[in-house]
Amino acid sequence: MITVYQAKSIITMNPSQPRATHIAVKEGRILAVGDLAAMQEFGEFTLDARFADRCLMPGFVEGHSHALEGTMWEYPYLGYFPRRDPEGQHWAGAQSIEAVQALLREQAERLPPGRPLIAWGFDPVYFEGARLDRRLLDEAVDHQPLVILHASLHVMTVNSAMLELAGLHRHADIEGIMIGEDGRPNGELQEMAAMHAIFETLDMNLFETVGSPKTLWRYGRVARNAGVTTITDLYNPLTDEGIEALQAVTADDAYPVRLVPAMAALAWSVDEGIQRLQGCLERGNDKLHFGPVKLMTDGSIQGYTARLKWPHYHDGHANGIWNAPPETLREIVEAYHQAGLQLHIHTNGDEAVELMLEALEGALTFWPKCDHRHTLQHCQVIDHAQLRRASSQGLCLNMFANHLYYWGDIHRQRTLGHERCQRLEPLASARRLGIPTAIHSDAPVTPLGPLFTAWCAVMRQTATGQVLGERERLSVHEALEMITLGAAYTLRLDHLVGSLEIGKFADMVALDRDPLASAPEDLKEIRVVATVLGGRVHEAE
Amino acid sequence: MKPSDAARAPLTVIGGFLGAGKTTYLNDLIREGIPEHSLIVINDFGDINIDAELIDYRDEQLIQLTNGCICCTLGGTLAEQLAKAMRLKEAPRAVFIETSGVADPARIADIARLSQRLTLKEVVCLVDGEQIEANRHDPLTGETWRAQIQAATRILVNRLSTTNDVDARLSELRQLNATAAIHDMGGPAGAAADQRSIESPAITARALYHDTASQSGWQSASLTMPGAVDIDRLRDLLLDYGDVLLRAKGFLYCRDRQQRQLLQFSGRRLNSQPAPARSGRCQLVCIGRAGGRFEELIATLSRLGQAEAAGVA
Repeated sequence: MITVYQAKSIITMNPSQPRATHIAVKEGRILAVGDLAAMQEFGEFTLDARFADRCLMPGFVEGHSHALEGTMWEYPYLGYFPRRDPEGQHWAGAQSIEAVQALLREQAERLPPGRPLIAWGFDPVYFEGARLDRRLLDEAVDHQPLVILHASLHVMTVNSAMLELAGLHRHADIEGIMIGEDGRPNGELQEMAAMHAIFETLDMNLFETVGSPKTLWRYGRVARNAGVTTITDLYNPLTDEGIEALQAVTADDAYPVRLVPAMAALAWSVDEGIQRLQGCLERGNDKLHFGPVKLMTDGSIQGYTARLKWPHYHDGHANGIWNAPPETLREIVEAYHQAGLQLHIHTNGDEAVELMLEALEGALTFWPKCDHRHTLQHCQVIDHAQLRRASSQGLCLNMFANHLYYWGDIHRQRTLGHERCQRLEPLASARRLGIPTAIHSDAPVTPLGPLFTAWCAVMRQTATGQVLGERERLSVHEALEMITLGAAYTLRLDHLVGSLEIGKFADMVALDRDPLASAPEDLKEIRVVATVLGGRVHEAE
Repeated sequence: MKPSDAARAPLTVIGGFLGAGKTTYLNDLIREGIPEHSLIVINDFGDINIDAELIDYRDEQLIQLTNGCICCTLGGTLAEQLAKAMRLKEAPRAVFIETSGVADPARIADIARLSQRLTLKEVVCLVDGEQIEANRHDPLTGETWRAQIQAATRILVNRLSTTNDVDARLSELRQLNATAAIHDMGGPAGAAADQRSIESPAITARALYHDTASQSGWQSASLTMPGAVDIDRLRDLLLDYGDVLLRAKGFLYCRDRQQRQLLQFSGRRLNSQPAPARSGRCQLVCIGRAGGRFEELIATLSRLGQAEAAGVA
């Protein structure tokens, strides 16, 4: 049974045949790409013209995001930017304190009395001057406990009812309990001690469902709606239960996306972790690809927890923190490399990049290996000497392009200053050096949407419209490659997905217009109509 | 509804850098007896030694002891996971948290100050007496180390007796923390001296991980070698085992040479050249045919290194 999809245009990402109009699919794989005449050589086939007005591309590949996105949607979304939930429902976002209050009021009414209301995604960065405190929250919800998780997931704001329930109203002298002008706790809680008091009082495990089939289904739907056909879960502990859930959802023909979980290295001792991951390698299927291990080294730049080289933070803030002792991080790199496994390494600050370049250089000196594809993740302010070193070590990079938009203004003013912002996510430089490079959203940290991520890489515009580092702009074609073949390469799946070529999985995304024929600034306006996974069509909601 | 303090579980925070003796301390604690029905949160199970007969149940992230204690490792953030772990038991009699080595114990101690179910007992900080200078001035972790000392209510110093100037080291710690009790654990006849020989032998050999690409037949082992080695003896040894040794490679100090050397053994030849000035561990990695003879080589190398290290000391 051969199906031929006809499109207005096809962008293939195959350098030998960049453009086409027809694509033949057989048994879930691509039989041929070309024009109608090339298809007719196959004799009998079904012509499917539903995409005749659409542009087809290889399905997008998201190389850095988290299934936690699927868990967060158990709670109402309170972010600034519009976002679509797994069911395709549009959340307009709350752009003013009044809108925040209105949304909370509405959500509180839906809950039984006394039940705590939990909302997520709030980002105080966009409300300068107006601090969301317990008073403003009390105006919206005062009869039941209310907890707002900030976008960073490291800060929360609670109302007075919650403060009292947790007994925190009595404490004004502990780091992390923010104080208002009246000298009393204002509801904002940072640091783990204050957050622990809330988790303890809520008497429920907030993120209990991470790793469950239900979460993975939601995650799959979010991916499908964004045009993604291959997605990572880049920090999965790979517990026995979690592995079973991954196998169960991907065995379902209706599951709309291929999953690439990366094992959380710090969840296990080195020996256990290596054994566990090696034991997983044979347990995948066409839609489930085990392989990478993920290592966290530092924190985030906007949270002042990333490790920066001298002169550290632009506004003089103290340098960030390590996730594990540097010596341990080095040993983990050596051990996993020696075991023949591929490392994805979270490095936000350039000092973290430096430490990992040292560690990888050591590992590669001891155990040379071709095509290791170790990948530095985020590497937002990697400097030029480090880029050259990454290139000579054969590393891949996956940069956090969405940061340019969401936190670019903050980086310019507070954390990094002018010069480092010129090389924030230095994508064009990485490309000049021939480094295999991808770009990502880190969902749920920012919304999943590869076309938006590509827009960020092309336009390099902040939320206020400032352009950061014009010389690091990519062309539209280069950006599209990074959200398809580039990301597939970092996941060692470029032989299976990422381009439309004979023999590869028939994974496509249908767009309402051709990104290469549109103005670069319109990239983010392009709509995803549907995805095709292994020849099966999934309409976007 | 503030529960009385009697109903609260005492929290002990155990901090300190890698290699300072946290795990030994924790193991001693478990062996010598902690209150029944305690909750122990540790970094990873690989580090602790619990006698099998004491274990009632274990899975990936939890060990239940026969005396009702629960040991668990963290799978997420401490704030979230501790709250979750506290729900595992009706009321733990006591709670012990081993910090990650780069954590600030003060922030963890705050947990007890804010919790309605915990009260702070003490913040123990283990210190490696030999490393005080190095730790204090480390550009990557010095700040964290100082914060750990400052947050402690009790500072336990290991291996102090091997340093030149014990009083100066102690007064450095005292300057950082004026109130904590400071104990020297490392007297020559003290328990820590014994621990030292168990915990950090001059050389430890362990078989590392099998490469997935070569499931059978090959084995590699990695030895840390802090002492200076007689390169001629090393060469003879490697040549003797040339039938099973494929390659050896590593950074070592050699007698009669100032700089750290990069050693490479392949094709029955041993080359040495000055290593790049970059700091790093001294380590020898051997790759060869798996089997008794290869293991014999590794054991012999260990002994060589031990003798050398003892000779230097």
